[in-house]
Amino acid sequence: MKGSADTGVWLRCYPPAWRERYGEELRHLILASNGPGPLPWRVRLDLVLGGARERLRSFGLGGVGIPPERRARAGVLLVLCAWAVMLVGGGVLQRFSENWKKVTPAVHRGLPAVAYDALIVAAAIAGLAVIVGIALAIPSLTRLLRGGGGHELRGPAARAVEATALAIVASVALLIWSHQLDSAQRNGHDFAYALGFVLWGVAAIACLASWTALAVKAARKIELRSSLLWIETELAALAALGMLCATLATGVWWGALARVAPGALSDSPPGIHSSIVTSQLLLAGVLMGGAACLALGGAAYALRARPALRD
Amino acid sequence: MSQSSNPSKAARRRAPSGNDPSLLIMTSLASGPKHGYGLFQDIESFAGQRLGPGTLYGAISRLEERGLIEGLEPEGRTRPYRLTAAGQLALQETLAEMRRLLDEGTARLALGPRLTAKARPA
Repeated sequence: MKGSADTGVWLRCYPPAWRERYGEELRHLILASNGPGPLPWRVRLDLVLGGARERLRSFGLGGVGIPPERRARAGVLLVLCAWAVMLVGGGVLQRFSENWKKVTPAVHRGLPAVAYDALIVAAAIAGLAVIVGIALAIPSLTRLLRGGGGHELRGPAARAVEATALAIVASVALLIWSHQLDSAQRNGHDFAYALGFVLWGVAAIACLASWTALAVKAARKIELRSSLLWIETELAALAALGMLCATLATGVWWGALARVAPGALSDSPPGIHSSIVTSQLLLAGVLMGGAACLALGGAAYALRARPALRD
Repeated sequence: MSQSSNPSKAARRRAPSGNDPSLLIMTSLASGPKHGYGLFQDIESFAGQRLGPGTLYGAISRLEERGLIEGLEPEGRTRPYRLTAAGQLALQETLAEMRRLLDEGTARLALGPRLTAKARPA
């Protein structure tokens, strides 16, 4: 039956646990109210939005009636996801900015250098907060694994290990390749190397994403005492603040450099006008800005849930 | 700022609305248990609203989670739902609040519109 198959596809918008409980009833309602033909777009949209809402709720976000522990944990995990995005943005920025001091006259380095240092300090503080947050959760994870509750983590863990192996192989290959090229070839004048670099970037992002997914899955399974969750929200807020400062510092660095040494933002020879908005810098800015917004939202969500946490 | 320190915002959030799917479902269940399609038909008949299936079951799952309705034994592929005691109380309180709002609005309309100084014609 066309309608039945169609319904199955749209029901996949919902989280598995929700489908397990309400899926059959929902399928019956859809077929009873729409008949066996293809679903109207209005119904499809309703199912997509409903599924998105339930997925957010299963993560602990949105809606009323979600316990404060789940809300705090969801906010903290949002910050962790934001940190992964920030690392990608920071990586793009680092690649773009690695030579800026060499091509900027010393007399013009003042404000950009201060902003760049502030960016590194803020990112280091955020990174440290994330690492401490993860470290504090490790005893709970160990208890989960010892109690035999880690079987659901095997799939994500296997994917993370595979992605890491791929990223390591790609990194070694790229390193060997880069030693056979000159500076110009390494900086975009060799198309094959540029393509290889992009593929390496994809492998690195896949590695980061798989570890983040594993961390999120594990963090949703482990038992966290309220006192520990309280500390985690503090660390999440600190990390979010660090990400915000890093993003703002990037903006200052970009603006200052565009004013005093625009040539440093492009590969153009001195005297040739070119845009100070390059695709790499734009990508880095969007990723970092998006990550900072996500982190601030997550931290605010976690902090709002905190007063209701049980002692 | 916490929610409790902003009463107007909290009040707006609590304010019942006639087209709230949860309220429509609870009102429908006030006359007896119904399954999903029964709710869909009943709500369409008394409120003139065709709730989307995702909207209807999203509201059902939330109401069940909050203990305001409960599922009965499944009947084939469907499961009837009924109001719990807490659900009846919540529905009564919500309807009483709506009635107060209705009475207040009706009384003010009966007095006629009072234009503010800004909106008063010169």
